[in-house]
Order: sequence, then structure tokens, then C-alpha cells
Amino acid sequence: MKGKHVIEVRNLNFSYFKDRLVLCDVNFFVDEGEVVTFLGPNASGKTTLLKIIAKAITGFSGYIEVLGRSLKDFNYRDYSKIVAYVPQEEIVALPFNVYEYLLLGRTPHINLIFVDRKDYLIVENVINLLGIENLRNRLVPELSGGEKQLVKIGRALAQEPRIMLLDEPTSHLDLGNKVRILKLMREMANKNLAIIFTTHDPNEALMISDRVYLLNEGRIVANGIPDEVLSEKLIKEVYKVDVTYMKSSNATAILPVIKGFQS
Amino acid sequence: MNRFIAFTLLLVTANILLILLSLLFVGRLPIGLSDWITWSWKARLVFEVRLPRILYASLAGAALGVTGSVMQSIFRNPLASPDILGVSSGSAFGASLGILFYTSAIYVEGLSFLMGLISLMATISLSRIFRYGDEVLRLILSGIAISALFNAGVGYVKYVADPYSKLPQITFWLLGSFGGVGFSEFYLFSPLILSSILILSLLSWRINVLSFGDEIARSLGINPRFNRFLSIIFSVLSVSSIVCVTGVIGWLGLITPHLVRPIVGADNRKVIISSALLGSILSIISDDISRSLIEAEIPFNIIVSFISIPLFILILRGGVKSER
Repeated sequence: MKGKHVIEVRNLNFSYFKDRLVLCDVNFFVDEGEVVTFLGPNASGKTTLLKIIAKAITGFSGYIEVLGRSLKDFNYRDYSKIVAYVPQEEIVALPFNVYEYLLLGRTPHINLIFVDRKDYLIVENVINLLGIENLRNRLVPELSGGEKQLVKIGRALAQEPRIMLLDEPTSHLDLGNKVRILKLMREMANKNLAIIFTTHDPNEALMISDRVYLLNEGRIVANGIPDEVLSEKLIKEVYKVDVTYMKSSNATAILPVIKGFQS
Repeated sequence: MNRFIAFTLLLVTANILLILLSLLFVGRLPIGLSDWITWSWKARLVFEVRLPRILYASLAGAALGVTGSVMQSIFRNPLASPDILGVSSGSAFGASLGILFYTSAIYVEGLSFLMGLISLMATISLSRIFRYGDEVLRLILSGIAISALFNAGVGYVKYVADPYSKLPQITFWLLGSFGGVGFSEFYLFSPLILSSILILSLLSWRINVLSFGDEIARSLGINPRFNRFLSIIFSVLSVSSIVCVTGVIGWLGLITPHLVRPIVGADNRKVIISSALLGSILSIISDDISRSLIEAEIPFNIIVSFISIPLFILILRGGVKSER
């Protein structure tokens, strides 16, 4: 355990409609400087969980504490100074360029009429940190998937949050971009940000996560250090496929096994 | 940024020149420089008639440009204009009722303004009943419904109106014109329009954020419902005060932001200012043509379309590169 809990969730229940619980008795915590993964198959409630913590959905029951305060006590503006949310899909309706887009990440901190010199500096820092100087004047709607993901994270970084929530940050990316984003998340955590991200791929949890919560049908079915928790049996139970572990000196991977096709 | 400043300076200069030239030299009654210098009775008369009209045209164009860019941003739709909320149809219905039952312009303007606001309230309340889609979609859908309702009302009034006296008046009103503007209208409505423009430009950062949708707005600390409501109210206030005097002239509001964005980008802090200035220019030029090309007035909307559509085609086919 590296520090104090920045997020603590107890007995969280949520449903969109009365008859079906999307999240059922969810308990977890996240510490400063940690990468925590919510792993689960499609429709397991990962995105809903993230949106609730992002304060994008209300109407849950249970208790959520962020930096020692109940989530319900925050107003949107104060909350956005602490927690940044990177959605999976985002439609950019107007042709903003990357620089303007990143500047919008300063919204929680500025008076909404005039932008301070400091805010421009922070955006410059984000551009340098992500190495996206070449994208500065490009239009966001015209970026490729990987570039768009970088820029989305950039805007969240410009918020200078303590906690960053990323919803399936790697789902549409090729191998190179995927690894780049995962590395970036690890680096951000090393700078004491708390990183929470969702994924359906167990291997991503193995690669960078300090801890993983495995979600299935709205319940947390396992949690702990990825190497210890993600057993073949458990993965098989949740994803309903046969898997096998591959270990080499510098990587561990979980691979699906399709019967009749082993070479 | 430099590009934006240069563009703004250009537009401001063009605006001032246009207002001066239109005031001094454009009109059916020829007034020479000597008349103006000696300040003859002819000059004084023309001044009284032209000045409020030109200023109002300028203000109206500016407000339409601003509300167009605001609506396109908060509804996240390039086709949005203030008409989308059913306000223009409501105003049109009010005005046609006014024309049908009264002869004085005050009643027409008053009824039109009132019905514009009523149609907005109807649209908002209807959107609260819907249980479909998100709030933006609900507003658009109920706007379409209310719009259709009032259009039917206008149709009915036209159907029963006296085809020799009232019907042509209604038809002409629906095509828009600054012909009815005098100093009284200018004094009554310009403070409302000006303050709406000012407030909307102060909201421009929030409007930028709203263009990303409610979830993102919340995660950036902006209350989407409240700020959307504010933007809508001030847009509708200014548009209603224009439309009730001039008739339906919404098209200018849809097109101006599209003309501006390839040059200054999407940031509403710039788009709103540039749209105001360009909208004003387009509006003054169109009004100049409409009042001086032939002996009778040509309806404003017809001229606006003839001027702006070629510009629209020129810019959207990539004539201007975006490189800020």
C-alpha cells in the first residue's frame, strides 16, 4: 500500500431500470500512485461503474468517498479539479484544433471568460510531455484513433487531476499505440496520480496494474494483484473460454485456447 | 491568433465603411454630397429613415450570426439555428394573427414577440415530457413538433386571410424585411439584442464545453442543463426581438458561422465575435440591395440567399485552408 485511499467505495448498488441491477454490492478502494484495473467481459458494468465515479451518472445507492469527502458533497466544478474522466467514445462536433481542445481541459481552473498565462503554460507542458508538438494545429475530428486517444488523455492531464478515470483507453488501438498508452498510464501513476481504467483484456491488467478488480454481471468476483488473482479457472469461469498461461522471463500472457486448432 | 486579429480588424473596418456608405449613398432617393454638406431638409429626412434601418440591419445580422454559432455548438449540429426550437414559427404565427386582426404594426410586433417566447416555453416543456434520447435530442424533437404546429397555424391564417389585402402582407412578412424599422423599434429592441450578444459572448467558453456533450461538460465542471438553458434564453430573446420587427430571417444565422469557421476555427470565443461582424456585413449589404435594386422592396431572405449561397459553396469546397 503506497498511501492513503483516494477513493473508497462501499456497498455500491446501481440500476438504470428498477428490475435489473447493473452493479451489485461493489466495494473497492484506490490509493495514490496506483494503477487499478476494472476487468470484465462486455456488459459487466465496468463503464457504468466508471461513470458513477466520474459523477457523470447519479442515482446510485451506497457510499463513495473521494479524498475523504462523500462524492455527493462535491459540486461539479470542485470535483473536476480532482477527477478527470476520459470517455471511450467522444464525438467532437466542431472542428477544434488540438491546442484549443487541450486548453478546454483547463476549464475547471479558469474563470471561464479569460484564460491565464499559466493555463497556456500548462497546455504547453502537456504537449511536451506527450510529444505531440506535431499535432498542435491538426483538427481533432481528423485525427487517427491513436492520436485521438493521446489527445483525450492530454486534455485530462491539463485538468491537473489527482485521479484519472479511463474507459477502455486501448480498445480501438493497434499494438504499438496500445502499449504507448499503457506505458503512459504507468508513468502518470509513478507521478502519484491514481489511475483507474477499464478493459476487457486480462493481459493489460497483467502488464501495468498494481491491482485488478474482476467484474462479472455487476459483481466483483475477485480482486488483488493480477498475477495472483487471474487464474486460468477464474478467467474460464468469467469469459467462458479455455485459456492458458504463457510465461517468459519478461512477460506473462493469458491466451485463449481453441480446441482442435492447437498446432 | 494573429489570423483572427487581422480578420477581425478587416471585418470591423468593412462594417464601419458599409454603414457610412449605405447611410450616405444607398437608396432610391438620390442624395448628393452637397445635400449632406449643407444638411438640407432632404438629407435630414433620409437620415431619419435610413439610420435606424441600417443600424437595425447591422445589429440583427450580428445577433443572428451569434445565435447561429451558439445553437450549432450546444445542439452539436451544423444545421442548427434558432429556428430549431420552433421560435421562428411561433413568431410567424403571432405576426400573421396580428396582421389578420389588427392594422397597427405595434400589435403585429407585440404578438409576434410574445408567440416567439410562448413557442420556446412550449418546446422546453414538451422536451421535459419526452422519455427518449438525451436532453439535446428531446429539445430538437419537441422543437420540430412545435414548429410544425405553428406552421400549421400560419397556414390556416393564410388560408382564411383576405387574399387582396391581408394575404400579401403575411406572405411578405414571412420573407423578411427591414422596411418596418423606425427609431421606436430601434430604441425598444436594440438594448435587448445588444445585451444578449454580450452575454452570449461571455458564455462562449462554456458553449465550447457544451459542444462535447453533457458527460464531458460535467467532467469539466460545467453544469450542462443550466448553461444550455442560459444560452437558449438569450439566443431566443435576441432572435425574437429581431424577427418580430423584420419577419422570418433565420437563414443568415445558419450560414454565417460556416463562413467564419474555416478562417478562425471552432473556438466560440473567436467564432462568436467573427460571426457577429460578418453577419452584420451580410445583413447590411442584403438590406442595401433589397431597398435600392428596384423600386419596390425585394424581400430580405431572397437577397441573403443569393449572396450567401455562392460564398457558402466557395468556402465549403475548400477555397480557404485552415492553418491557425
